Amino acid sequence: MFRMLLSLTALGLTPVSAFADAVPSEEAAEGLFSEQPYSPYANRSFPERPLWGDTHLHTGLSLDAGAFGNTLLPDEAWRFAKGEQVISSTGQPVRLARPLDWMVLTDHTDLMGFAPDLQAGKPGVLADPKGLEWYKGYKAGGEEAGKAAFDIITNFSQMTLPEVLLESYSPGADAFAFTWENIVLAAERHNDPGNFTAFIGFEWTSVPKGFNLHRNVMLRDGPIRALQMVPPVTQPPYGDTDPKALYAWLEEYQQKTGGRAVAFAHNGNLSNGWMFPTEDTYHGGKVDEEYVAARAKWEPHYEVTQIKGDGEAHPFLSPDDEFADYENWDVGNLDISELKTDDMLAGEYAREALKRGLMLEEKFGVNPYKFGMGGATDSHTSLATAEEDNFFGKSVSVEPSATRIKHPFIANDLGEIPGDLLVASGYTAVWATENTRAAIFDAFKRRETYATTGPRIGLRFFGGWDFNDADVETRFIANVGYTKGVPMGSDMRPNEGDGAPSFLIAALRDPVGANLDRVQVIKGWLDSEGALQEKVYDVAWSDDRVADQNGKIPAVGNTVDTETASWTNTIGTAELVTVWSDPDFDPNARAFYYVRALEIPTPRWILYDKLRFGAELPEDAVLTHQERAYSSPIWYTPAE
Amino acid sequence: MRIVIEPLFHFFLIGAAIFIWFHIVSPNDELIADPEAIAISESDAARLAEQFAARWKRRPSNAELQALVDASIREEVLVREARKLGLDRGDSVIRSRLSQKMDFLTEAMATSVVPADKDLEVFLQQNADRYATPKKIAFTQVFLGEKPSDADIERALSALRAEQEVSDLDRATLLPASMPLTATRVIDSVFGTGFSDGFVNLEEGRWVGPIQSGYGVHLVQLLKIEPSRIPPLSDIYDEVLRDWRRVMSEDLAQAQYEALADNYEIIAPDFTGQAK
Repeated sequence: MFRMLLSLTALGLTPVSAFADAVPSEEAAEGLFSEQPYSPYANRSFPERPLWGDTHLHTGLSLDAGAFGNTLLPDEAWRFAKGEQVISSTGQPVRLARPLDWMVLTDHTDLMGFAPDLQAGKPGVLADPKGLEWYKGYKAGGEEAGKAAFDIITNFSQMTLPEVLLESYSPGADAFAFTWENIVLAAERHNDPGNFTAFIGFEWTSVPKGFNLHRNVMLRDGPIRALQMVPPVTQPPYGDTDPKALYAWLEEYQQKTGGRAVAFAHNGNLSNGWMFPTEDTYHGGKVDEEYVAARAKWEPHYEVTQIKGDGEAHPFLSPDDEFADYENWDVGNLDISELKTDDMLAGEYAREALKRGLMLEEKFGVNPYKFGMGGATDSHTSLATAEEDNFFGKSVSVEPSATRIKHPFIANDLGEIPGDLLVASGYTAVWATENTRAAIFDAFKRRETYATTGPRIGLRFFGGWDFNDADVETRFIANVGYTKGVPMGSDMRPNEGDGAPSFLIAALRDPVGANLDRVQVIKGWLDSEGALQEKVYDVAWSDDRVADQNGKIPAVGNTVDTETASWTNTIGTAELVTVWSDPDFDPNARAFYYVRALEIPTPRWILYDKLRFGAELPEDAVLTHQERAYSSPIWYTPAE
Repeated sequence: MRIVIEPLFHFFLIGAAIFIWFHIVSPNDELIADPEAIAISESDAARLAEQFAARWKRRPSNAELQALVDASIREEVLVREARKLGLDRGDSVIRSRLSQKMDFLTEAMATSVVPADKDLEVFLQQNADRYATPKKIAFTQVFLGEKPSDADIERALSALRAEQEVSDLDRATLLPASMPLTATRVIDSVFGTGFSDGFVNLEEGRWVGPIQSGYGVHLVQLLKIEPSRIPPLSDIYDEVLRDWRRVMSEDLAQAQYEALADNYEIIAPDFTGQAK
């Protein structure tokens, strides 16, 4: 019975009167879990613990990663994610404090496999004058190698790669198919259902004129399906940077193989407004019925936080949110070939996109920006590190060293992203019933995921119409949550009364991490005038703090000792559990709600560099921050 | 050492055969009968035509084929003259390409060696950690908060042993009340490092405590414990073979190199042991 309710929710359906006899009455449901059965494993049709993973990681097979000296290939990346110690490309031993439960390996498809051949000086590469030049640069090492790598990336983004090389490492070429086979088979070798899930995936690297429109793709399937196709690229004539081309590939993949795939974007903050359009797409198309339908179909997830900036909210868009100013990168597009202007920001940040989705749903009947939240590293080192005290950087050139903070991520005549702004973030937690490709993939589809900036904060979020304070007393939050409501990522069930929605919310600090400061609900809605609104509510907080006259809860304090890069859990609390009801509910307004849980302040990664290497920090460097978790939203749609 | 010696023996047999074979079949430009003649045969022309067709998806016209032949004659002339001038020496690209080709040969040979099961068995035992299944524990627990008093712990423990319902702190918690058979690393990732160590030597079914987690104090009831074990070779044969080959190909490459290097008297300064 319970399983059925769940699966209906998973399909995005709500049990309606036709199913009335299949849905338990509230009384029956309440009694469902009150008695402990003999078998402690009985009655568990819902996820017990979040499964932690990274949706975005590059190995030496990626053009840029390999060109910058990453020599670790998928086998090493998988072994590292599973908790083994490996030697990094710069010769440093490294290990995760805690292994991941799953990962998607997403090498760039454009010129996939070229980099290892360049490193090895394969004849096909040396036969081309540019290839020879890059090889000599790579072999010379140091600054020469760096120049060669930049030249490769520049030629890639300007679409001026030598034709012969492009042809040899694009779909249709043996080397391309061979590399894909390597990727697929490596994932298969390391996939260990029940213990560790290795997803087959790739990154479709659309970056026209430096505007980041990248999408990662993850497959639900194994090699038998994955090897029936090769992944798509963006460099013409072999591919196209228009997301419609990716959607067409996904459609063909599912048709041809019977498999399943999803795509998800990241770093809207580097798209200069093109990530979440409402009128025109970058590629000259319109945001029309076809566009919103395809985007809604293929992109149920968004990578909201990662090394290249946190993309939940921006102070310009959310001036009343004192926590919106967090690890924002807002200088320009990916290669800073165009500076950012304020009017671009609304097309870049997740919260704004969720709001825009409500407006587009009103217009077209479909919400293209109805996504779940996730975090990822986007590391190009083959090492999925997102912890501040074990951060191996964005690329091999900024693996730990006394001087890495001084290497800007990018610097040109227009602007700069200094090295200390790299973000040691993030991971995705998935509420899946088992650790398998099928179960985790399905959780992505029903958006039962949440993002963190690295710490393993536990987060439950259920929406319903009759949660009450007694539910906070229960020992089994999930039982009550799934029975009386819907989990994160879902649509609210229809309201049978006329009350406001209520939410059961619980957050648990990382078992080896910092205490929690507060839990907030962020609401966005489309008001009766057709304007988009948002509001941040503090719903639970530590240390019995009292709101000031503006309703703000005072800051939790800061225990970080910047000399020793340490802090104490003497402020904050380990667990926050509450039931919150929307005091401003308008039954006629489309709305979404998601949870943001904040830790107490802890050191940023640069403080560990200072402690261990004596690294010099820039004067204005941000030394401490409040790491956080973002739940997927729950959506409310007014009855017809 | 035995494990290395036996495959090495096979390896050198295969190696010798391959090197001899290469010596026979590879085109040996340096020993051309008439060093002043350049001959392009019909079969050479056919090969040029095939390469053209592979790239352009059509056969070359006669004019195109003639151009291809002329280009390869030109290449041959220039390569021979360049060699006479010694231009191939000291070129880092050519040198690294040649040494790399030797590595490829070694690699190809390493993957063709089939080890005896007993060699794999030894390898499996030497790397037992990598193949061992994780230790698993099933348990139920009650969370008593960060610093419960001794009296509270005693009271809760008695109640549990008397099979009475006990709730955590009388409030909700996200900590799971019980876990099915779960790897200890997963248990520790939920409750904090070292939590699973508290289950050593516990009696199944009996409530005990206090046990410390990353959050505070717990009472626990061990339900089942499944020790770590090393699966038999037959269950994980392919995996062990693959790892053995990976390790072996590195050892073999080094052994091969050392065997070749033995043919030379190497005179070079020795910096090991010198202060920086």
